[in-house]
Amino acid sequence: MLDSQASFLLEILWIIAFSTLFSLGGGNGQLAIIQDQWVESGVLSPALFAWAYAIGNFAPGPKCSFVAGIGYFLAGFPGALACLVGITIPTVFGASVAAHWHDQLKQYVAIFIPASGFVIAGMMSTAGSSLVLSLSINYIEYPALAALILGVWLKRWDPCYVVMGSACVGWFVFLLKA
Amino acid sequence: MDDSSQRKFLPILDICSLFLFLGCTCFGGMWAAMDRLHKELVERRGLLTADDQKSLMLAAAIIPAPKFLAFAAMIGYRIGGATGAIASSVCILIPGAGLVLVACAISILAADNPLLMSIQHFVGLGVVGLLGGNALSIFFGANRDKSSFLVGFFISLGIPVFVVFFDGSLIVAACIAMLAGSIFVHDTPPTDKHRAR
Repeated sequence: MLDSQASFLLEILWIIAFSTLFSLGGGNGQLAIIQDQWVESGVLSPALFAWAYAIGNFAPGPKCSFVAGIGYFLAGFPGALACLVGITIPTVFGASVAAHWHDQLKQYVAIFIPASGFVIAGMMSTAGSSLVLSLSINYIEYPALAALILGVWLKRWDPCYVVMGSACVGWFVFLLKA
Repeated sequence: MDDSSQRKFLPILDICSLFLFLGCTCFGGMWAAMDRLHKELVERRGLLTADDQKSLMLAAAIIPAPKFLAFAAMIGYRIGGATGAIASSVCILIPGAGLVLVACAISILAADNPLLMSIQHFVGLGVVGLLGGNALSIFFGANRDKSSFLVGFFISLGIPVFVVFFDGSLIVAACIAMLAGSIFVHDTPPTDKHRAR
């Protein structure tokens, strides 16, 4: 029998591995799966979830390295390791198969590509709206949030600048309150 | 076409050092690091041709895995087989994941600090903005005919409504939407506007 810690680590590994399937077409449906599994159920606080994702945008290498932070918040260093293993296994398998049988597989993957953008858009808006419901937002922050969404969409603001700007606003608001 | 005879193979330690280096020096995701990757993989080391690089980047974008990680694994597979794929993907993750872990560990130590709480709240709002903006960008970036676009609209709207208002399972919603979408949503040839994106 597995003890509860080991089974939780296995659960982390499985969910992260499964969530990589929703990175199809370069979208980040993975975020939505993580949000749905652990933030929605109260296992992980929305602030820590957002924090790990935000830091991942500053880190070098693949942006998916933020899963290490999610794993750490869930179960310490073993959790981080479980996340990294979970993201690596399906990626290595899929990439090796794709590199080996690139031409043959392209037609099958192409079946899902046209719809993937709409599905991932739906998953990301689910994650965003659930996160909004979890954070306590006051009435002044809603218009600022709407402006931010429009800026990211229409002006393609860089995630690094968005995160850095948000952190600066947080710091500024703290100074004002102090 | 089998071009394996023209491919370079590297020892595993060289693959590890190459991808550790790339993991430390590439910022902003795969597309943002394109020039950096070209310089290292095509010009400096001659591991790929420029066309190979583009083809592998596109392939990495269409397989169900994080793009940059998949790209690294595909290069690793080409230059070192399955072991190379594992080594390259692990090594490219290590620098970023290490940095994320250190930052998260520090933030746990200072969890009760009011300044950090204020910053985390606004960073949370920033992440919501990124999610919402990117969702709109992906939705309107799709080049589809009117009927596919209408189906896509119901898919993109249906998932959050089902999950948030009816407490449904996101995974179930996404799988059903993906299956329905594969039947009803069709690709249309890209216009110049979409190629420019």
